[in-house]
Amino acid sequence: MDGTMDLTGKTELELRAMEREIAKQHLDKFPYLSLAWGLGNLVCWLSVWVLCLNGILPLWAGFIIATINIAASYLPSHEAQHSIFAMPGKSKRWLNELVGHLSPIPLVMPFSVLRATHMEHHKHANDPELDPDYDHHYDTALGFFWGSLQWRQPQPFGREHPYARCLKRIGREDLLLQSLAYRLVYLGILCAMALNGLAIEAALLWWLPWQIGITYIQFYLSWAPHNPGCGTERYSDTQSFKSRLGNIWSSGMQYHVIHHLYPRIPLVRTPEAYRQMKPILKAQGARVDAI
Amino acid sequence: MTHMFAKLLEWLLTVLPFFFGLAFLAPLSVQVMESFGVEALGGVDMWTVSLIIFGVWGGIASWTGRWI
Repeated sequence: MDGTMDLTGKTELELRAMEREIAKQHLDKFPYLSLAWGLGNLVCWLSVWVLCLNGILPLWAGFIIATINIAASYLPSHEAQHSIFAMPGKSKRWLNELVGHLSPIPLVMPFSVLRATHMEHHKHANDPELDPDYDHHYDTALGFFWGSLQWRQPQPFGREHPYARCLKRIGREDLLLQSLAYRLVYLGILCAMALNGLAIEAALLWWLPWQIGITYIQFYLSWAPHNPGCGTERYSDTQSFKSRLGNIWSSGMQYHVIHHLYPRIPLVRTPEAYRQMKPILKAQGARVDAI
Repeated sequence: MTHMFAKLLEWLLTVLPFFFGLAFLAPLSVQVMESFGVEALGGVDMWTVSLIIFGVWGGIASWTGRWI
């Protein structure tokens, strides 16, 4: 199929069936790149610590690499959240869970929390009450940056953290303890380093890269594909967009619309799926004009 | 018992910014200033200055739930 397909007179159901046919070509493909990325990124980040603390790598270079590592640490886990490496019961399931747990360690967020809240995001995308990522909705990028800063406060927007509220709503209070444990280990490491004369190293290899990385992730994974003015329906809850940084440096999110329609298509295959599906998506009313 | 544990965790979360101010931000500011050769401000040792500033700031963050 290509951009010249004739969709005249097709019903919504027929269009949906065409969509599914295209999606099938991209499903159940093992994401080797995400596997290498997830594990390699963590190894790289840990190596940066060793190299910087031993004076082999300058701290400024370590800061740049660590920032990229942390910004890149979420997506392999995101593939695992959608069981793209392997579905439950499959022989490679352990690998799915391994990547899911290991890759977001620099982000200080447990895989189980990310998975539980992300599934709620998919179920309720853009719903002000139920979407745990709704707090990134702002009309302007400047507004987003202010909102992201607020999201990182002890009590974002003067209330309980949206992920904590989400976990309580779905009856997964047990995961709050995991979050707290991650947080305490993270702060414990930062403080122990600081009190032993390594505060600048801790700040430049984890604390500051985390602040930048989380802002980047929220910008490209949440704000840009869902704002402004996206709805809550299947074809309106996200949009394609043209990134000034290109597709790779915006984490492949230009084609996020494909991810919301078919979450089990691996990230690296979303551009091709998008190009194949675009006329159908346009006919279905999706916001796909940007790219 | 569970209720007490939950209360303890809630308290811990509330006071984290205060301890973060004292145990991370204060030493960080001391070490940054040290790298610029500043060891005292207005005759007051940098550690004292930093502990006061970040202790108070962290305390306010604990109280209000926001650093800024």
